[in-house]
Amino acid sequence: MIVLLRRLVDRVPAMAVALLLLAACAPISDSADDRLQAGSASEAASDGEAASDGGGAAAGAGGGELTYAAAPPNTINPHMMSSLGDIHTVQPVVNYLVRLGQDLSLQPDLATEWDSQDARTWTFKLREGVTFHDGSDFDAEDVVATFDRIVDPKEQSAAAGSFTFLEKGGTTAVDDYTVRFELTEPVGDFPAWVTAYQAAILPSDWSGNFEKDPIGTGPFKLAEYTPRQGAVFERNADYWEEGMPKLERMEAVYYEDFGAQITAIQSGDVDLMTLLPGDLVDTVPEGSGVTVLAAPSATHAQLTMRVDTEPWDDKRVRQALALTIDRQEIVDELWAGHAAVANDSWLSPVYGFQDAVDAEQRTQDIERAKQLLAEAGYRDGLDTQLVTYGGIGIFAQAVADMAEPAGFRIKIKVEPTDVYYQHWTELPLAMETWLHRSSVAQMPALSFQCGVDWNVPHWCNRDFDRLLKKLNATVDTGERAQIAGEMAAIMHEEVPAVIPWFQDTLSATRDNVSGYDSHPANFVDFRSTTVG
Amino acid sequence: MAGSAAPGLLRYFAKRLAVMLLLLTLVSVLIFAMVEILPGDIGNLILGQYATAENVEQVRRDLGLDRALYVRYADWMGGFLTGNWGDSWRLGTPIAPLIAGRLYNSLILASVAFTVIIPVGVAAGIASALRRGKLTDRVINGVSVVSITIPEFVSSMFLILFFSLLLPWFPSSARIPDGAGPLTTLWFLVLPIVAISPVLVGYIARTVRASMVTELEADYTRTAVLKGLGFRTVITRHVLRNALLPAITVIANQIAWLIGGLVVIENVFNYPGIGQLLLQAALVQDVPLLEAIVLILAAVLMLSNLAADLLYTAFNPRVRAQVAGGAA
Amino acid sequence: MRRVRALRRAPGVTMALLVLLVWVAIAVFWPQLVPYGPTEQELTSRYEPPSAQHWLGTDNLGRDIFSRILAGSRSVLIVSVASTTLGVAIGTAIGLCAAFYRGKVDELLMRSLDLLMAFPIIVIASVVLAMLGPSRLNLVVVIAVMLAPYNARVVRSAVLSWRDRDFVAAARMRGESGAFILFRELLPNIVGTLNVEYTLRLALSIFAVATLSFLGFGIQPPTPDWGLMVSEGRPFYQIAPWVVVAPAAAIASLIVAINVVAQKLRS
Repeated sequence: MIVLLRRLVDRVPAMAVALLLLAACAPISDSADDRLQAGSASEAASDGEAASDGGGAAAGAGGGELTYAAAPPNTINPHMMSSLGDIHTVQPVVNYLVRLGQDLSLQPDLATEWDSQDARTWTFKLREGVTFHDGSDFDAEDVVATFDRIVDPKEQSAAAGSFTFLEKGGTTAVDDYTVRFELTEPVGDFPAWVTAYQAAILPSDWSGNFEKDPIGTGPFKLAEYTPRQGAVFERNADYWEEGMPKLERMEAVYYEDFGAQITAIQSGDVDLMTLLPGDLVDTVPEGSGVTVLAAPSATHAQLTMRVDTEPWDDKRVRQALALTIDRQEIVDELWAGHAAVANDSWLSPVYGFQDAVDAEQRTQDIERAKQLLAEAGYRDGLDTQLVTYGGIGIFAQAVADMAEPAGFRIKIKVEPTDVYYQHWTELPLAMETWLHRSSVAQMPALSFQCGVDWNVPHWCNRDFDRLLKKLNATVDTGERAQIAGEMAAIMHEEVPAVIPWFQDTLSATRDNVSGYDSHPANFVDFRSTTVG
Repeated sequence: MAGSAAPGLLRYFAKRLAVMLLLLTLVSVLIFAMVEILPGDIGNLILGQYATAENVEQVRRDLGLDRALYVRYADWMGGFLTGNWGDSWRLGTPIAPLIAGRLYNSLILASVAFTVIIPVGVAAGIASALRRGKLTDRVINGVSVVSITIPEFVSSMFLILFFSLLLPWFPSSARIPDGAGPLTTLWFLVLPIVAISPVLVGYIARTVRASMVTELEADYTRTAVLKGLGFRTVITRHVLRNALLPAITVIANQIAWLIGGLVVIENVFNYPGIGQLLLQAALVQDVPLLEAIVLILAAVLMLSNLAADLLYTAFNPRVRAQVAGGAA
Repeated sequence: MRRVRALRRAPGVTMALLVLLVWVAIAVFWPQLVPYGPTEQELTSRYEPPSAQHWLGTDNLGRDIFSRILAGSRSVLIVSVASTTLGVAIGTAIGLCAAFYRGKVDELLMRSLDLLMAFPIIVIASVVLAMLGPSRLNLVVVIAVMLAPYNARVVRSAVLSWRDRDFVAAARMRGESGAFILFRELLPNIVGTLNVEYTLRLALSIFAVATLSFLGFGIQPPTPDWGLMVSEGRPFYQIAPWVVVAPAAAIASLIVAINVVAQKLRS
């Protein structure tokens, strides 16, 4: 044994050199994208294992294979989803009744048409000839089962809060391909609500466990899923839309933070990032091999202030904070222009109603802010703490820094996202991002209506709530604009939350990826995507 | 091994095993107590940010968190020993396959790393001992000192910068694709291993060097050489065998580090190892997952120490005699 | 005294001591030395390369990196010195007791320490800090607890070699208490070992502080912290490497300097 060891020792320098040579001989290519395919091809050749579609051997769509980076899902049960990571893994596998288009239009997905006379009873006609991944046919029973599950309090779906006007049993199958929804109150734009990301249509006999039974009607089948690690998708050859999807295979790789994701897309390890934070746009400039895709949206960050605690119970203090922020500078510098200035209400320009808002655009006015603070009794400024989570820490820092000259001495506390959301509704001063909602009435209903669970500012304004009800009951667009405008003006004046910008949804792909675009609600749509 | 020594040896190792099990139980109690006392709302963790108050309470009851502490401990330990490790709070999926997968990844990384680290470390140690005081020795020592002082997160990032971004030779994420063969796996692991190796190589080299020097300067070596045995023969037959023994202990210690301690490497290279899983579990206070991982890591560590002891004793005649003879 | 003279004769060590001195001075006087406030943002000048206005360039919020490096020295040094001192104190106490009392006490202590030492430092530290929440105090305590066992081991062996000397026996015959013997007779003899130990642990402590703040468990933003700066600058280091190089070099210089001194003290 000693002799062997000695021989080994003698050979170590040689071995080291050999190892280095081997490493150096790894495929060196001009384009980083070739690297991954070259790797799998050489492995197939030398190891004699079947290549997994590396060289476009499969017949069919010919769109290639895509690897994308995303945050790890916390759950892939479609009805329980609540974070982007969840959405980015589940959506390629499912369809909805109505699809929210990239241009914010409502497009028929599994429903072909819809109608209502009184905004309380809605009838949807369903598409025929669609099959689930397990071969069963799609029909009205599946829709009924899906929505019953979503609104069933026992299921504890995160979407239940959105569908307060629908009860279990309120969805019925008129015939095999017609569904009727009977709502408890009129909702003028109900079709927009069914685009909610949790409303993925699943089979009526679905087991409840998506990891074991990932049965949807979507363009891709979930072939493998390893929690917090990655997922593999395969083309659904029986997908109901002609010529889609184009990709043969997709792989999702999960990253816990953006630093590694950026490096991965820069080096070509991944072809696509489903979400690119605004402050990292500069890491992938023109000519770096990466394309940034932007879609204007209603997504925004809220600087929420508990109006039932000091010092935020004084409207003047809230207005003062709103006046310290240089919104245009944040839009220009931290979003590289991929955002729009907001005026402390949820009403984003993408809804098309902004002309009806009768309120002057707030801009930075430190003097006025100081004045207001003094009037409220804080002549020497005030000390407070802003709690937020890692993903938007940099914006919190920017905002806190801007508020300083006016006398706000803000300490920042950055928590892991999960921890933040364990107590976010109790925080006196907090900052979080709210995703785009397809219906203009959804966001205020979720976060500014008196008494709802996610009303972080604990704000209660009778006029606002009254107008919200009216908004839901109104179908005429012109009238809806008026009402929304009034609501926005109230928010602008009362400032339950400072809303400085509406950010574009940003994603990134390597230059050789086409057929993918950012979606305002950060949904993912790989149907027409191709690589190479 | 001498037949008469066997019973003594067996008794010794039986005793060590018993102590190990006792310690593991202690660890399990400690980790359970520590973690269960923590604040933090499980309901929100499981149900996500849109959970309502009643749902959260329901979850607490469903998980049996309103029972007494010792009842929960007994339940947990019982389940653990029978293979039922429960579900992760955050993910809702069974813990056992989750840990198994990550542990497997960490083991792969550790094994591949060792195939580089052990030969290089031993060779470096031998070389510096044989040429002690000369240039080779100085260089190896210098490199060793420098490599220990550079934190892994710094060296990893620069390796990626140079060999993945500027020179597109290697992948920047160590995400080995499904069904990859040994060569592809190696290619993905090159950068992480280069980042990890210097420190460990340094430790092994220094240990080997020190013990070799002791052996080289021992009387028996000189005697052997004087007696006419060739220098080479002396080295290979006597010196090496004795000198390499302490290296076994060092390597055993490193196993612990290579399996559970690569939190930074796993973070920078996005490698799905057990270290990252532990960190994530701790960050969100996913209690069952946290407890399970700590216990498993403790078991792995103790087992590797025990194995190292076994090897050391088996190969070292002096210690073997001591152990077999009396100290049971 | 001989040791100090020996130190001065070696140029490498002198340089190292100089580096350390400079960092300590910076940690104390940085408010007077910085050209900009370390948390002063200038959103319109993000990621500027080193220039006459910003010697080390600017970071992701337009803050001056040079000022942040200077300001960051204070927390690194305070936390590592505090944790090392605490750790060495705890470890020495444990080591002294174990070595002096021997028997069951020794067994128990050493076995528990073995247990603690089996786990990699960063793992235990990250887990505990993840659960307790990051704060300077937690950081100091956690690192101190991780350092103590190594120290205890060394102190224990050192004391063991002195324990059976005549003067100890003499003290015992005089009827001196255990504590007296420990602290008045034995401790002074191992001061030399302690010095070496302290510097070695200090190097390890700085390493741990940097790594833990890189992982996000140390000082919280916007307070400047070297490890955190490396972590925040990571997505940008291909287009703006100075954001990462500067803090990394600062960390390395401190660790190398201390290690050089430690090596010298050892021999």
